[in-house]
Amino acid sequence: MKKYIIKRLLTLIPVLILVSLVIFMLVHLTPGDPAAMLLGDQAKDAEIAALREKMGFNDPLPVQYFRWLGGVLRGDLGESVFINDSMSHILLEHMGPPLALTCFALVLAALFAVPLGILAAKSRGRLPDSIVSVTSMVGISMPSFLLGLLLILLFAVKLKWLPASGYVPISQGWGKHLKYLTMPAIALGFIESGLMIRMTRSAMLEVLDSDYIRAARAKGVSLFTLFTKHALRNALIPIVTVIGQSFMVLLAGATVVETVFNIPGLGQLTVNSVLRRDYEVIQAIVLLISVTMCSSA
Amino acid sequence: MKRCIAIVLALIMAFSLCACGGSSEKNDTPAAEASRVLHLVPANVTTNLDIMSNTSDEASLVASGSIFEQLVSADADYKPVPELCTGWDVNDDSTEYVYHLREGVKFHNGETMTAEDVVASMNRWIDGVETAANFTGGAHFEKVDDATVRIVMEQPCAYLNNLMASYANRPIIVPKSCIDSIGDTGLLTEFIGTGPYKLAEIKEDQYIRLEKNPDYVPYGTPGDFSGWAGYKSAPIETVVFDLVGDESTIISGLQTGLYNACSGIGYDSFELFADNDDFDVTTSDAEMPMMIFNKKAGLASDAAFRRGINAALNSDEMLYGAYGSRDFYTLCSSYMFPSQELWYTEAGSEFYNQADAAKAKELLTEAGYDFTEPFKLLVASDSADFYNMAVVVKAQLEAAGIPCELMTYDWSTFVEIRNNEPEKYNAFITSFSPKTVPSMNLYLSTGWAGWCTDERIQNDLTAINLSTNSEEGAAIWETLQEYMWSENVPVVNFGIQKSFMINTADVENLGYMERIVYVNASFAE
Repeated sequence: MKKYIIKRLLTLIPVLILVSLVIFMLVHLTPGDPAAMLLGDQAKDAEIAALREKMGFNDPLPVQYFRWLGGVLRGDLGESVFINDSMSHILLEHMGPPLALTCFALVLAALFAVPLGILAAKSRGRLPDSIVSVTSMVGISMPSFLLGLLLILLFAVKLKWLPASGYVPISQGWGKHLKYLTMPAIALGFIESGLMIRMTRSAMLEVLDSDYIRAARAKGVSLFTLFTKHALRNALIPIVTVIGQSFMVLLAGATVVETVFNIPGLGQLTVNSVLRRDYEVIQAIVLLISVTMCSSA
Repeated sequence: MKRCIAIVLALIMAFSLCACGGSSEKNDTPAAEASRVLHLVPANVTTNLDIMSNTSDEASLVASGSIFEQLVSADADYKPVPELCTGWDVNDDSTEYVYHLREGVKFHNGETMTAEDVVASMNRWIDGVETAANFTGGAHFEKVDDATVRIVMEQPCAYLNNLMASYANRPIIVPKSCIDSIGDTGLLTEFIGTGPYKLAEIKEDQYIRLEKNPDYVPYGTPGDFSGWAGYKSAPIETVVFDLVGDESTIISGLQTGLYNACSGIGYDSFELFADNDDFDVTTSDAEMPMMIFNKKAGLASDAAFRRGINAALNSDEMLYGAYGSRDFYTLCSSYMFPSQELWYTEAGSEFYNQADAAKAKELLTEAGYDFTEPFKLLVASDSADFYNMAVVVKAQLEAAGIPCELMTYDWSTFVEIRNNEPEKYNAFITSFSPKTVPSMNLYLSTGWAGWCTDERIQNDLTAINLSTNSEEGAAIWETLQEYMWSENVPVVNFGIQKSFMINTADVENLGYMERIVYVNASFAE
């Protein structure tokens, strides 16, 4: 095992060096100037040039690259000139909200999808089955930003039950935290719940057709026990697999929902950083994602 | 059992990370409910509050007059008014200004403002801002005594106070120690001013929170506040700027009371709030949208070509296309706003809004244009108004037989190309807020995109700066504006755009001059 880990780590090194080079070149060759963004639209050429010089952006690209790489190797991902904070702190701050959102969305999606899937399987070919099938199709088809806006219109603007946007960390209380996360989590989780409904329904139907279920029925087992104890347990394997796979999909989809609900997550940070050409932040985020992907591959 | 422990540990780890996402203090989030916190939404996200170097409207909204104050501020007519000084003396030829400092003014760090702080701050401004250096001829401020500073210039400068009062690079007064601790970037890292609000927290890309400065001593008389200057009572203890990127989020936040005021949202949303008793909508002449010709390279470097393009343009169509209603704009040929009585002139107005395709063709043919090379118009996709104007310009030029190519980019790329790649485009569209002296208009500068290097224009601007009385300066400006419309056409002014501020009806005493002025804002009982 030790050997395997060491081997994996060693193979990671050239990959990460290549990734770092590609990220750096992509970011620096994209048109846009952080100094101009930092000084505002009315800054004159000379003022922008002076700041570029002070920030080291006029140095040759290889010098800038090795300066950044040196920092990364020492564990220093740099500092954002826009946010005026270290990258490690910025990343930590922005990882919490999307994780909370994804976890909550996943829980809501599973709680919504599994019972509906069982109901659809139970009433196969009848009206409830059709209603659930339509619901799951709507879930799969509807973009999260559209659902988010509709939810805001209904629950925030019309009914005034939930806040329209924002994020409150758990440290300020679970109640507030969940209140602010409910709408974004529904908007995010509804798509995946469609998939989960379909998966639950088909898994349950397969199990319900099996001999041991017929035997249990013949023995006179109650319907509730039959579904929960005998059928669902065996049908859970593909359902749990889908739920697990949904986590990464939801985490990626959180970017859009973050924007609609103004949640300060990694997605919003990335978008803002790209728009203002905050080189250090873009490089650090892409590197973090690359390390995660390479490690899990 | 092992599996249960693993699940519990995983959950603890996940929620620990979730808890990292915000501050541990209470009531400091953008969503602090029920408390009397004023929530404002800037049009764009900003975190660099060094408004001497950051010229963005958003930074000024947050920090100008609230966190930072200046020696001289501006009233509603853009007239210079003493702020951190009690007054000033100017000699007859406007070469020496002496400022008498207000006594007992304290910085947010508890230190008392001294002449050394003022001298260091003002000299940082002169050294860091090209226009300031041009106006003063590079002269610096010096301490006379503990309560007096002065600047002695070799050249007259009748408009120094106008420049200090309203230029986008604001001459904010900060402790000398803050200036001494500035790092490599030349930007302030500590935002310590003398204003009625002090910076409490910047939460990256989320919010900026200001708290009332308990040591603030207002100047002027209670109730006497105009424009950006006067008595600042700061009745609200906490002001939060929610940094929201998405316009629909801002609108729903206003509708649900999450935010109290904003400006800069799209004109489509006006009707939504204008007829609603729960909101007040204030409109104001805001900016002049313009097409700035690239005079450094390409087709538009020739004044004859620029005259031809100008002849084809119909400003009314353009502004209507951008703003969708005549309530949101005024046709205006003057490059200075009508409220600026000294400078406002209609000289050259016959060359404004000509909409004459035949004349355009004739002028362009005379200029030697072959009607095959496209006129390249650069525009930022982030601004729907500018993009819509560009689409109308394209249609008007094509109607006059001029092929036109729109170059649409995101804001960062737009700025990069605009500033550094003049060979790629012929003109771009942007807008400008009022300036108190014509020479402060950036589009007439040699050092900003468009590069107005025309000798006559630069000489006249210098003559305005050096004029020792305002009438002399106004006379020079009148002939210069005539020349700009009839001969040189460095830019084409489309008119005056009106912007609007929306606030919930429970907020009173919000001001609106280029930006929301909240230093006297209060909640209705």
